[in-house]
Amino acid sequence: MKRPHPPYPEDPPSERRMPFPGWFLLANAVAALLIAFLGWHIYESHGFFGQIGAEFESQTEAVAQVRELRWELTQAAHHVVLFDDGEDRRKPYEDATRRLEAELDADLGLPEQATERAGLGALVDLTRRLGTIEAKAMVAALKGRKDEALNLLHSPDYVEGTGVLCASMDAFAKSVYDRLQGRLRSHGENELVFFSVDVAVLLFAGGLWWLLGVRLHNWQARADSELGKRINAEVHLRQAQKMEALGQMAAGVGHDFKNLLSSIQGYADLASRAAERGQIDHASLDGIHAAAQQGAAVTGALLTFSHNTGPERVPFDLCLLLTETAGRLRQTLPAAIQIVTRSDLPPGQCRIIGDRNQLQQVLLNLATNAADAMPAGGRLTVALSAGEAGRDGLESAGARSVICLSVSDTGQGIPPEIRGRIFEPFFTTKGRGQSTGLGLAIVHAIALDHGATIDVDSVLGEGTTFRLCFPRDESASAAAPAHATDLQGMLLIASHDAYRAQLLASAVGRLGLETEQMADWRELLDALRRHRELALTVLLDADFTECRACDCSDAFAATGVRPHVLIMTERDSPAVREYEDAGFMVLEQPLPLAELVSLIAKGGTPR
Amino acid sequence: MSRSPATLLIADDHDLLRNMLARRLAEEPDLQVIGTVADASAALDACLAHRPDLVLMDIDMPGLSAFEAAHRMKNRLPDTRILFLSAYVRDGFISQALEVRAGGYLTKGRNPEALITCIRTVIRGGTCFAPEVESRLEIGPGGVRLTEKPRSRLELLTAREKQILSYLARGMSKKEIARLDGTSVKTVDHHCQHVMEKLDLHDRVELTRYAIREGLVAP
Repeated sequence: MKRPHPPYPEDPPSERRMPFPGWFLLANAVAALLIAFLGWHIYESHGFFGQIGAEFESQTEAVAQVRELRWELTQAAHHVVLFDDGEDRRKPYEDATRRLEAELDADLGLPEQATERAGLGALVDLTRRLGTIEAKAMVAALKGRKDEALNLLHSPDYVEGTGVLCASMDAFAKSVYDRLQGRLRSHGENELVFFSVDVAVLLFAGGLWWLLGVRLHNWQARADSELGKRINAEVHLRQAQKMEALGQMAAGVGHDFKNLLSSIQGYADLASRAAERGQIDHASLDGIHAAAQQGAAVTGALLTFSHNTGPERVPFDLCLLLTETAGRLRQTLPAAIQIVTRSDLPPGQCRIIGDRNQLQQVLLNLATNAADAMPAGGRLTVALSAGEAGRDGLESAGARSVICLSVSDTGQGIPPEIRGRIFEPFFTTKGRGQSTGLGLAIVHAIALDHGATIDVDSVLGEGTTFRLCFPRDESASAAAPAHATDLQGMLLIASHDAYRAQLLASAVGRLGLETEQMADWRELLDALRRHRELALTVLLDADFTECRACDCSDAFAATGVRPHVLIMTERDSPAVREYEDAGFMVLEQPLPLAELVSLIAKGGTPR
Repeated sequence: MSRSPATLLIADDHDLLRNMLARRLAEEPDLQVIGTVADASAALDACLAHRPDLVLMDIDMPGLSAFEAAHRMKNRLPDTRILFLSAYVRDGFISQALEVRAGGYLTKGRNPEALITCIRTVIRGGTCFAPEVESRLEIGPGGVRLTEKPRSRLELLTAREKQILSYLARGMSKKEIARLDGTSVKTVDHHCQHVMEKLDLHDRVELTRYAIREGLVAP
């Protein structure tokens, strides 16, 4: 069993693979990390500023509270001493004392820094000392020792203590402020670091994306150039395939030409000998003529491989092509291959429209392929049969019946796993260098180009059949009557397009019909009267006259002649129904010339 | 008094063929070859200088395009007829030949007698196209043009004729069709005749089979 080989010279896998996944994932990962980092940073900053603000607020408030309570105590003590209403004031004093103690206890827990804690401790001590002096003064005042009480409140300890307390509270507030300010400054410095890191990460991610873009661009350029190379390679290989086939044909063609040249030489010799005797050797001259004709046929076959221009679209007989190609196949394929040709269609009934050279190539490619599948010999069957469009899968609206060409071999068959790939360009099961892998791809392309369907039926160990169904040229049968030359009568062509009228006149003239071209409506009516004794057909362009259909009908009737009238209008023209009702045959354009001539021929036949 | 012979110019880059044509055409008393050239540019110059009645021109020649030369000839000398001769039948060639309103397009390898007949036809004002070229032509609203695709004969029928065909295929009588269509039996009869002529089918059974095959009616 032949093994499939890679259809095209392989590039290193790393170069052929799209660089997308690795680079794309890396760039995306970096971008995701960057976004996470920035989010975390914003969250942290928000927390930090909140903490600083709360701490500043709580400590400032604590100091203000201490200051206010201390002031209440001082006022209460002075009131007791100065206004002798101690019993009434002692209670609020004691309350304020308790609140101050509680506040101080709470505040002692606040400061984080040791220096601030020590400052606050000294403040508490001082407050308590002042409280002791005030308590002594109030006791003395309540016992009637007002002078002693006043002395205590004016003692240097009390007066200086009160001043030191105020200064200590200010100092404590400032230390708190300084500390928080320091933290903010330090945070600002950290922010600069963070900002630098952010910029660096951004630059890195940007660079990564840029590199990704460059790599994608390079990959695209390489892919484009690969495509270009593939197309060039395909063109070259296609040409090479033709050359390969040409090489196979060369032996057979050389053989043909040698025979032909020998024949010509021989006949020429015979003719010259006859001439020397004063005779004309017609048979020899005919022989030369025939040899030249055969040479022309061989040259025509060679032309298949020589020109490289666009395809033709002409009607031709597939049966004849089959007969001609079969002869060529017998010369080129190994003798172990038995070639059987069969046609279920009578000659002249297998006309299709297409490029004869291309279809000959289809046959040669399929036959060569079949022969390769039978290395030990076998039977190659090329057959033509009629088919129906629906049954044979052809959905062409233009052709309902099809002609099917099948090429069968008795070879090894195509394994199911590669059956779907056989029409791929460059796919081959033959060894490297033995085949271009384009043969079946070309067959497929040509078949599609001709609107044909292509089916493959293969059984392992039994053989393969390729079946191509082409739309039948249905205009062929329509054109057939145009070859009749025994028609009588006259065709009056009423058209403003002189070139079209000339062309029609020439085409119809070959049927034996006389023609006359009209320049205007009056001329047409005169011609009708003039040729009243002939069977007249009028081919009338709808735009030749502006008269309505019924008026045209009346005008014709007034001449006393009843011509067969064919009106040519544009497809779906609103006037169609009117002309039809007036009894004219309506021909909607565009209309193939051959069909038009065929319809005219029917009208021109004497009735 | 005998009419003076029609003048011809032959343009073909193949020496052997050009000379053969000149020698062969020289044998016809009503034709006179006034020159032979090997390319379209020389053909244009010779045509303008000698004003031949007909230029027999190969299509595939080196240098200036044969169609471009023909176009310029037609512009300067509208009465000069142009007959193309080519080894190939290609859509591109045919449509360009029609564009310059050529008198004909023949393929090489035909019988010389057929060529001479064509030359005479074209000189008389007619046209002459090889059968394989003619089969590619269609008459359209804008004049003669290249047919686009293989056609079904069904396309010959007008919409109304198709309708009548579908009624016939369903087994309706002409009277029934006339009643349904709101027209006279005579009109329906006309349509039936036209349908049969266009499709070249001459009985109801064939018409019905055709209508089923074309999908006009369900089988």
